[in-house]
Amino acid sequence: MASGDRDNARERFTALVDLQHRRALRIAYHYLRDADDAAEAVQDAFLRVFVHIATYSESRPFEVWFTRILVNACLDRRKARGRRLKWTIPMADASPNRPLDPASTAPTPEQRMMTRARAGEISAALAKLPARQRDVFVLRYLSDQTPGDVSAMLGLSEATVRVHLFRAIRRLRTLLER
Amino acid sequence: MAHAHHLTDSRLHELWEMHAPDPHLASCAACQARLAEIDGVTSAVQTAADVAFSEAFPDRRVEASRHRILQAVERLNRPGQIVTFPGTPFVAARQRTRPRWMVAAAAGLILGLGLGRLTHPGSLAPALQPAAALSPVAPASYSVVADDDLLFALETASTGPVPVLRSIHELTPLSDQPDPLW
Repeated sequence: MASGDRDNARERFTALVDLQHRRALRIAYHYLRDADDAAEAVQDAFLRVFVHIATYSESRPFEVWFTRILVNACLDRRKARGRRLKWTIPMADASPNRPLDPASTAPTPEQRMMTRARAGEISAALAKLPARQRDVFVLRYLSDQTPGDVSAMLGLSEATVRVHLFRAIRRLRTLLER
Repeated sequence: MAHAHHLTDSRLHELWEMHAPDPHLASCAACQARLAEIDGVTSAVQTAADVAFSEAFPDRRVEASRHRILQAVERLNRPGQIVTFPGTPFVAARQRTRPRWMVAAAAGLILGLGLGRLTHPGSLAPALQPAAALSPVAPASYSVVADDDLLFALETASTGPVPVLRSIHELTPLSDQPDPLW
């Protein structure tokens, strides 16, 4: 490939990363609940996109194709983490209410701590949802995909997506009231 | 209002997403409550998600992640090149190898038949001749020898360190043995 083409491809890919990166981190973070794992899953997804870009069909939005790759990367990482955890001694404080990130344990003003605590509770509730409900909810409300896009990403009908969304919301409410 | 007439979850959700008016919804307190429930929980989760995300990913961390991705792409050093990743080398290799064997076997058979005709012009059944006359048909035997060699090499490797490595191993002090220099 000529160096001009290569530079051009690199520039276009950089623009793509700039456009999708933050949203991708957000999705991955809510899937994995760990910042390092999320960053790695996002990197995996972008590399897969880079390598397979020629297989992308313009018949559906790029975002849908990319998000599907990202979700798969998150699922792969979750499986890998599951395998890793199988061989490690469980931490004493590995409760679902633990902070999302070690950095969040630093002392902060009271208001900020309460907000964090509430955010932790809600994230823990989100993690307790059945996998399909959580996937649908995260994609729809935390990454602003339309129900139509979510149905394309997960291979579900739009009506099924809506039912999962509603059930997820109802379950979240029950969990947060406890 | 009877429960049977309430909006379905799917319909209610659709109305909420579209902010669409609905005659039943306008007059049903139960469905209005369900709608408010959707709104409240979703807003709370979105707010919490924003907080959690910005805690976990301050701007410098987002930038570091972006930088690592671009570096990884740079390392690939093949923009626009299509690679079947993650590939399935074993399947691909098998697909390539099998036809080659078939071609070799067919070629051997044809050659054997030709040689049979030359050495025994009157015979119609060269296949009944001694096997030595059909030796070109035997590429499979090369494979067997090669496989045997490979298995032998594997067996040798797995039975323990080879002598050259063993001497290095013996020279290396083990952690649980006292070091003679101390």
